[in-house]
Amino acid sequence: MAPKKTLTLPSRDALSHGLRLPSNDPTVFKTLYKLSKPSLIQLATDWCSEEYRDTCGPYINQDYAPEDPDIPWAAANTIEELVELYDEERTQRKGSKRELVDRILEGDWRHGLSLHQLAMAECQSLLDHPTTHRWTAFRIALSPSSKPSSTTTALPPIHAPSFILALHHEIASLIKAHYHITRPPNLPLTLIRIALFDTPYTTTTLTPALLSASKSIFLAFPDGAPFIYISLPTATLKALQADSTTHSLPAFVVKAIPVALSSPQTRYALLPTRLSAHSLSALLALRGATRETGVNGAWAQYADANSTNNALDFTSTPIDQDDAMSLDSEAPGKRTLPLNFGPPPSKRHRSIAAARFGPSGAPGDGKALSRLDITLEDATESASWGPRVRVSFAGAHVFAGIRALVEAGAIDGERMPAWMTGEAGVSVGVVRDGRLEGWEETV
Amino acid sequence: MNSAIDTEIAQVRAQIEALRHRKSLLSTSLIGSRRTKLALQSYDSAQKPPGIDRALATLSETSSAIAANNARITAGITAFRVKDPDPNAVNNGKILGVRLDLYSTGQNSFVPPYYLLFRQFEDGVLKLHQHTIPACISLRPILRKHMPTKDEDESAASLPGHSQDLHAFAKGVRKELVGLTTRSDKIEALKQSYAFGAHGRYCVKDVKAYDPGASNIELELRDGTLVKLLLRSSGDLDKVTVRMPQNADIDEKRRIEKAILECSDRIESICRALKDMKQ
Repeated sequence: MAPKKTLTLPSRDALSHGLRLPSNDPTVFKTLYKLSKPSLIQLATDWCSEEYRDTCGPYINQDYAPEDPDIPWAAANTIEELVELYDEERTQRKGSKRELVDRILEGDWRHGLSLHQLAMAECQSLLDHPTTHRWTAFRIALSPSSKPSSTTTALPPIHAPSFILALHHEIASLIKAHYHITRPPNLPLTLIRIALFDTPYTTTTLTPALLSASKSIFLAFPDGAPFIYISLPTATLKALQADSTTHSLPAFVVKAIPVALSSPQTRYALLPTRLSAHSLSALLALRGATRETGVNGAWAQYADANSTNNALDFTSTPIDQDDAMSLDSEAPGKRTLPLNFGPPPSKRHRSIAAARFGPSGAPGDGKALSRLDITLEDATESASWGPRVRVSFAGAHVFAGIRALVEAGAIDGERMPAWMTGEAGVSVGVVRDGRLEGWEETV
Repeated sequence: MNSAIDTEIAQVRAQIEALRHRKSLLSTSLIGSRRTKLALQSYDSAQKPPGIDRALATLSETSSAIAANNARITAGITAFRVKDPDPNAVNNGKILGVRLDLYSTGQNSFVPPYYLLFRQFEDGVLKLHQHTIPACISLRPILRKHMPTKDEDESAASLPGHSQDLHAFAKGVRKELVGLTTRSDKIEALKQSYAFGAHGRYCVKDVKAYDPGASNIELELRDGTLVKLLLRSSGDLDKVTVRMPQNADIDEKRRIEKAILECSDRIESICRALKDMKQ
């Protein structure tokens, strides 16, 4: 018998949470296999819970056709039975991760994983491996054409569901998309995942070709700060870097974001802030809501509540009497001290590093930048020709690395320019006359 | 057995901490008093006992620290100088710092100070370099109004009467910070007040205030009604939205709104007003 043809029509609806993907699809397997085992068990338990049962529910004998003898995993009779089973797996840790994934895909969710489940799994994997995505921070600013608002607390009012509705209105005619909003625990931000499918048709099942070509974009809105962090698929990012007018679905969606945020009379624009990083916590520390955001490098001590004294505290010494900031009053040229005078070099290097970096540049300070790209455009003798020098630093935490080099004496801490301490809080910049240009306007 | 010793150790530790605090207080007030100063200065330079010079140095340090603190408490806006350690810094690393001190009635103390650090160019122009103002306060409009910079559009800078005014800028920023502190204090008071009342249908079940700018609050009432409050920068109530569960009476909604609006200048009494509402 020929398979029943389903009718597909172009439409403007969003893809529904409950739309199921075939569970033998390699994309689905890859997504689940990326997760850690505890996260997988937690997700499976969540999918069985009352809240998600409609869109993510498992294959239960009483709801579906009687058991197929070909499948190695026996389907549970009730949901409670299944929850108990996963609980047991959690406490006893019997099987491997591979077994667990197989059990989910071939057994308990043999009827397919819904888009909602896939979105939850991808968001969880983002939290499990926080450095896999490259995030770029943009400032949400009133565009010049709209009249300046009278209030100074000019945070755009962001309500994630309304934003999604507006965004969908912008992109629906070209793309089918699935949206998922979540608030990750321990991070003060709202995370939105948008899965894009390159088709205008409503479909009841997604074909494997469509699924493998799907792209997902992550957006994050930090609480109480006029910024948005965007994570695009690597291919799009590369294409955008090469040519900013690239036409691709993700780029199209990014263009629709400021339109979706705007309302009549108040138009917003996304301004680049010259910062990309692999960790969300670094973005929150550099473009977030706290008072640490505006002070970096040596200046970070001004945000340190322990070192800044309270106005009523008459007993401690204040920091703003420039002893903490200035270095020894020694001319930069005279570095070679006789060894029997002054502190030993390592201690001296350490104190110089402390003066230049303050409390920042420590491995665990949460401001880990994985890459710093600087173009040096210092004025040269000849006006017609000047070398274009680009310096790139890469590593787990670039500024902690530079600090370690200063402490070891490999970099002269006194003559080191300030952009190497990370005081600008940017990951891309142009240096002229030894100073980063125009970064103050972006942050 | 163990726990008895542990509590004793904890007690002794607390006592040591208290004594240490008392000692530092006493030494500060001793060294800050005029009598001590006079007594120390009365020695002739010939028969000075050793250590007097050091004591005098400490004394002058402490008295200047006390003077600085007094200035901070009374003025709220104080300026200081630091040197930028950057070897390529403009104007030899001249940095003008502005320190903003605010009192929080809720915490019953001064909040940690806020800082604005400006680079000072040779011609006296100041450019904001680093600051500790939270992002929920938008500095740009205040900067644009009082601190025109060279590279901004010429028309704004060349307007008559539009010159750099650091004092007005610092005052503007401080006003926003005072608003933020007041709102946070009020929300904190509201949170504490709901913990007490527990009966009645419209009694507040939960207060949600996630907004770091402290302008949005959400109250959840016992019967599932959601109340959203929007605060003005002064901490007074600006707008209120009540969302009741379905099939609720529209008059009920109006009554709740009215009860809340009646305490619009004292939002910390909203919980009490809702509790006292007639059923």
